[in-house]
Amino acid sequence: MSIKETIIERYPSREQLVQNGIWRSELYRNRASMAGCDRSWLWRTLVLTPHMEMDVSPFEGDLLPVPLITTKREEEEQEGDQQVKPTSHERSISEYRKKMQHNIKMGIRRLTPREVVHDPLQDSKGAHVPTIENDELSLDEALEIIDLDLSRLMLDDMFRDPAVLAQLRQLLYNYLIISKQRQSSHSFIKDPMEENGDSGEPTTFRYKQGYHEILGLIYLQLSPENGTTILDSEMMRNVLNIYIKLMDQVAPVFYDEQALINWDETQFSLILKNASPILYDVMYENGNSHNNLIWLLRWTKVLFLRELPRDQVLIIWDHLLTFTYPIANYVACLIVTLLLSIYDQLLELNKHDSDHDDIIEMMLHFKENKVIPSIDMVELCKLAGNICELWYSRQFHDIKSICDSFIKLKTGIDTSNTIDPNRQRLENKLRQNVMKSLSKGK
Amino acid sequence: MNNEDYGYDYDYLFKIVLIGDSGVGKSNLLSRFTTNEFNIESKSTIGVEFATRTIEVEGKKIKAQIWDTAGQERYRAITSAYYRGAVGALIVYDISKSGTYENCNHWLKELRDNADDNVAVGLIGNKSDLAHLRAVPTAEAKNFASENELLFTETSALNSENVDQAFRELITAIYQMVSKHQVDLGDSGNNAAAAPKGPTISLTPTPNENKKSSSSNCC
Repeated sequence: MSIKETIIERYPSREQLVQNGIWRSELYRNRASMAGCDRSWLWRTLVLTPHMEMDVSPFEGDLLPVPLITTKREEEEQEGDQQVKPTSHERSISEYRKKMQHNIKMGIRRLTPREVVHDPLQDSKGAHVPTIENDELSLDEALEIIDLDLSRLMLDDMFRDPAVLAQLRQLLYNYLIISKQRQSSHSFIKDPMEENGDSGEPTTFRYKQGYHEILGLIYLQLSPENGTTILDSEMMRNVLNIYIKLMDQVAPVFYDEQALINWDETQFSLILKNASPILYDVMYENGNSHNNLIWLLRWTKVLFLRELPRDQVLIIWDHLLTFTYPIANYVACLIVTLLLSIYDQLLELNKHDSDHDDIIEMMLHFKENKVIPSIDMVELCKLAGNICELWYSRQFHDIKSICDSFIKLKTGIDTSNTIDPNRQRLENKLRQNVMKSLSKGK
Repeated sequence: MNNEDYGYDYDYLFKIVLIGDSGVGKSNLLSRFTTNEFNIESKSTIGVEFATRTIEVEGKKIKAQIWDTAGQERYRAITSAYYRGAVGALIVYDISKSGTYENCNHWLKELRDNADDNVAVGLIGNKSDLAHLRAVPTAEAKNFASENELLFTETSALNSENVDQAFRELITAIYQMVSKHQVDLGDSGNNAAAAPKGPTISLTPTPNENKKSSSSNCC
């Protein structure tokens, strides 16, 4: 029996699937069956079933083709082809190929605007100037970075196929238009070329590296099982709608610098402080939260894709896509649980890591170094959900209790009686000095 | 060329940042230097990565901690943390893409604005194996480097050409600055005026037996 059949048989409603199947981990009891399973049906059921108060109705039309941004040379080249009328998909593949050739020939790339109105490096607390405008790119700039990123999308071999890449490019283009128009409180989708009348001037867009990777995983999961066929128009709409729904919560927090700093200050660090004051002191000892943001940037932007094995990431995304908790909050809780899982390693590193670099290095190489040899991700997801619940109901003492129990279970360390880590470090150093003196005496 | 060479045993720790537009090959320069690897299919860097390699310069073991930054990130408060404590920087462009060279000016400005005044800087024209697609003349880049007092090398992370040399030159330049600074300090009787400007320089001479010991650590 397939996963789809099992779910249909066992859960008559989406609610039951979410409550029992995912959050009570019933789906994962037979880990082997979920391990290699593609999530196409599951994610479509979770996200696209009409069940939630949607901010906007889902996208239902045809995706816009990516406009061709040409140079004079390309225009001349195209003059000879005017009588050919390819299909829209053929056009987009051909445009993609031409664009890549153009990049190689011309090599002009301006990834970010040359001038910014306000230098955020000069800002201070309370003097925040919204950064979104500064991040915006013209259409050709955005498409150039998208092409570069897609050419380096290594999630699966299928992303070597130009036809697949052309579809991803089209999806990202449509997402950029939709997000831009929603940001401007416009109607759902409209050709940006029409927005400016006949001027033909492209509007500006906000694309950040990492968008492509999140889209890549959704596309991969929704692609046909043989992995070689491109998606039909209905499945393209499904991918776009799941992506929009996810990015609605991810982009404003994790891809906006000031919002990410706020998230660290008002959510992540505070949850960590409540979960384990000792670990909080270790991670924020020098009072410079930016040190943690260096690794948190990637952890949050691509939602663990580069930090954990794919099977683990899929379990996390199953939970995220239930939208039971705000994603920013849930991600904070989940990262806290991962830190708790390596509580002993972090404390050990901190003994010698006066400048925090070793901790940053470990967090940046979490996957390669297999920092947690065997993660029970289902258990961590559940614990993160519990912390979320307690956080919302302001049961801070209970957060600490369940986290103390978890640390004890994982590491054998009893953290219920707090010892100041600085004092602990001082004691350790004194102990080392005494040992040295004693050994010299011998 | 083992990343674990010397491990915790080194005399100096130098933090070096790699900056430049997306796609110029920063990550591959890093992996070529630290682990002698080249990945033709390397992913876009999200945020920052770093790796280390310890080399010997004039009899001293120097641990280079190299930070690889995402090309799209710029003028950002978080990324400014990358520059904190950096004593060296390599601004990388792709010799086959003139736009990436044109942007070096802006990267240099960002570096000057955020890093310590004494930071040693090298300009790297990467992908020299793409000579047939060259869009940036060597002489022009050399001239730019000279005007701005930058070291200059053309490299190929793909075939290893000059990669080691580029990093070694920078590390040596930093080391010579440090040694000179120490001599100057000695000559001037530890005169504070001779100390470098700026708050960061973390050229902490590190006793071999104690990793990254900082002068602020009391015990």
